Amino acid sequence: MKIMNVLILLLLFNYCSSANIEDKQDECDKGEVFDEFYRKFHTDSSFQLSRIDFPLKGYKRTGNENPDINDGKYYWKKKNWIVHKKFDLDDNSIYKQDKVFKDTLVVDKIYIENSGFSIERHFKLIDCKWKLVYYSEIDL
Amino acid sequence: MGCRKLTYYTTETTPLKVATGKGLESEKVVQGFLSVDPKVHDARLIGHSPYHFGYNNPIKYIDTEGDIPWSMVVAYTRVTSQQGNRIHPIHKESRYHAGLDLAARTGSDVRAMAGGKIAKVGWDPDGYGRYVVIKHPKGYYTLYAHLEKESVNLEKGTNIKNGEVIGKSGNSGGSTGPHLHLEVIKAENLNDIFKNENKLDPQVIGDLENIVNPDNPLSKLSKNDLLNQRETLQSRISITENLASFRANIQEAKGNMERADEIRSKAAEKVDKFRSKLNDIETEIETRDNG
Repeated sequence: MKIMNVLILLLLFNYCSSANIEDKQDECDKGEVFDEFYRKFHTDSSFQLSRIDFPLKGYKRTGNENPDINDGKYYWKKKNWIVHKKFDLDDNSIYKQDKVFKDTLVVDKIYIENSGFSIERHFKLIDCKWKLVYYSEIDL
Repeated sequence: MGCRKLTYYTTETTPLKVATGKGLESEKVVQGFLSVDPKVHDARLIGHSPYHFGYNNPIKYIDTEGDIPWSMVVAYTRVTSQQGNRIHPIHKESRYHAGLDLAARTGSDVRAMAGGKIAKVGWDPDGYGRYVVIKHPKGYYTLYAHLEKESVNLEKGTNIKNGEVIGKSGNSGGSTGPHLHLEVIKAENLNDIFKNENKLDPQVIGDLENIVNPDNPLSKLSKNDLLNQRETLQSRISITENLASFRANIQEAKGNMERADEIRSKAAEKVDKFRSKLNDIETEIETRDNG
């Protein structure tokens, strides 16, 4: 009987714990829909800055730099940050976009096909909020 | 005859969009029109091509006179990005693109744009990939990037002839697909070749060999060739000016004054170069007429 009681207690504890996690996940899902975050990120510059922890890890290369001196590894600083605006995908654009969703990570690529231009952004769900955690820009 | 000997072949599969030059809706076509190989324009004028201006027209040609202008550096299918300013997709600012991007199949031969000496064979894993820099006379350099990593078997100091194969085009480094990134640079030394202010537009340069190793190339041309080239240049000047004005007006109507100024200034730069070449041709014609 004693063993049964312990087992029931363990099962109850386990149920409560997983319910708690699911509640948190639900809360996250309800609180921060990626598309809504993505829209606001590109229309509200204060919001954008609040969702980046500087210095932001990334990569930066342009044709104006000697590759022997600059290997491209870069940390973006708040004082030099240029606000990211909404990407317009229309018929006239030479750019293309791919977004890959992986659980709590979204990889967003904008590029010119068969060229040396590409930007890549990683958005990650951290503590129920989407954040930009990586930004790479190759402009060659 | 005096016509330039240009042999054409094409892999065109989609209908050509002919520039109408009318209204805003043709802006897209006009942009394509600007990216057309200028040799197609030449050919249209001298009656060798059945095509008018097309959007990213993949016509290739063989210049049987043996010149190696920029478009003979690699068998490309289209120009994917012009040299010069382009608008950043999320910063919405103008950014300078140092070279010309030519989509080409991996493994296509890449040829030196003019005679010179290998100045560098580099490896830039996330940038230019495998790249080669050639030093030419008169302070000119050319840079060929995103080559196949193992395709370059040259060492610094090797002499290179005009049109000699230096490697194979590829997709190495920070490339989004197989292409050749081609740069023409005028710099005091190798360290200065990466500065934007030293980069030149390969499409304006045309045949670099005639610039770096000139033995008065105009003297080799027949009178008809000279007249054809004069007509081509006059037409290019007129088209460049009209298109720049058209595109600048569109940008002004949209309120993009800065972009409009850029278009005008870039066009003025190109027109100056065309005029300079035109002067040389007219002088040559005059010399012959008087002599």
